[in-house]
Amino acid sequence: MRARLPKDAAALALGADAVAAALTKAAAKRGIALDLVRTGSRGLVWLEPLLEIETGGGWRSFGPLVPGDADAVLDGTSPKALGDIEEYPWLKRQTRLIFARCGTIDPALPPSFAGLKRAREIGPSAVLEEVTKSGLRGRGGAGFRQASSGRARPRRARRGNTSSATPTRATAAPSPTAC
Amino acid sequence: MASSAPFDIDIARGIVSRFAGMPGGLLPALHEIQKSFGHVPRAALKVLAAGFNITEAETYGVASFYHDFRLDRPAGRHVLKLCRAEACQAVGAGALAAHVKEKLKLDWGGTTADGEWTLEPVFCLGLCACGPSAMIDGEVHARLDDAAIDALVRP
Repeated sequence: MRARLPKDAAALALGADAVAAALTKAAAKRGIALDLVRTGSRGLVWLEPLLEIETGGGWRSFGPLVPGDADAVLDGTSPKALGDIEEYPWLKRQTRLIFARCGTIDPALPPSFAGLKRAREIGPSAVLEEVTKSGLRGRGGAGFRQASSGRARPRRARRGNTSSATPTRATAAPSPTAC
Repeated sequence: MASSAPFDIDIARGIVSRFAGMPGGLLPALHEIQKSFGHVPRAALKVLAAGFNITEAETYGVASFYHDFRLDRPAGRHVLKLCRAEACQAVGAGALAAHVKEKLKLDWGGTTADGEWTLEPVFCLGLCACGPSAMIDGEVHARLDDAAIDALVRP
């Protein structure tokens, strides 16, 4: 059974580790193979520790849990059942971009770098094309479009390193006068 | 929690020599000193000043800037930090602090006579959504009340 339980500081401060231990024990007692992923919090701190388990009918959430809730959660009799947390009004009306996966993945797992791999495959011009479409802007305060800044970089940087995922600053050839 | 061997100038010199050549080595050296002796005694500040070729006043300035460096004496075996910031105060941190002070017979910065508990204020553990919060020996606890803190702090 796949399950998610946060391990960020707030969840830990609210006893998430003790809840995880109780769940593991309760699952073992029932012969359930528990695949518990420790995630970041979705931010509904008043419901932490907030557990999500995968059922035949989708993901179901429970919270705020204490270790004593583990048996009822697994038996489907917990009064702390919240349904699918992604349908919870507070969460549903939000559009999450940077934190879209926070709550569903273990942030401490090594990244797959799938995006970097793809960027290397499609090459610098296609990367610039995507960055243009995204409308991404620099963080310097002037609001320059990241794509413009990428295009403004000297071409030799791209020529010299065609597999570069991001157009990087050109490295000048060592000057004979440089010490 | 922390070990607190008596101050030994040779150990201190050994620590300082490991960090003296490192850029920004003063802070890691201070951490090592505190780890070894439970605090950063005055004598260690002299050793640091000599090793880093800075004034003793400067070592004092750096060490005293960070509240986690203890300049006077080692902490008790356990360190209880109660959050005193606004969000926690708004949900009862004041009453909780009064309860803990009464229970341990301590004021801020004090250590129980048996050396078990040191009580310190802390200004924000980032747990504002689930206060009152506290840190005990580096672990965070939140949504605390008198009963919860009593279960964690046994004098």
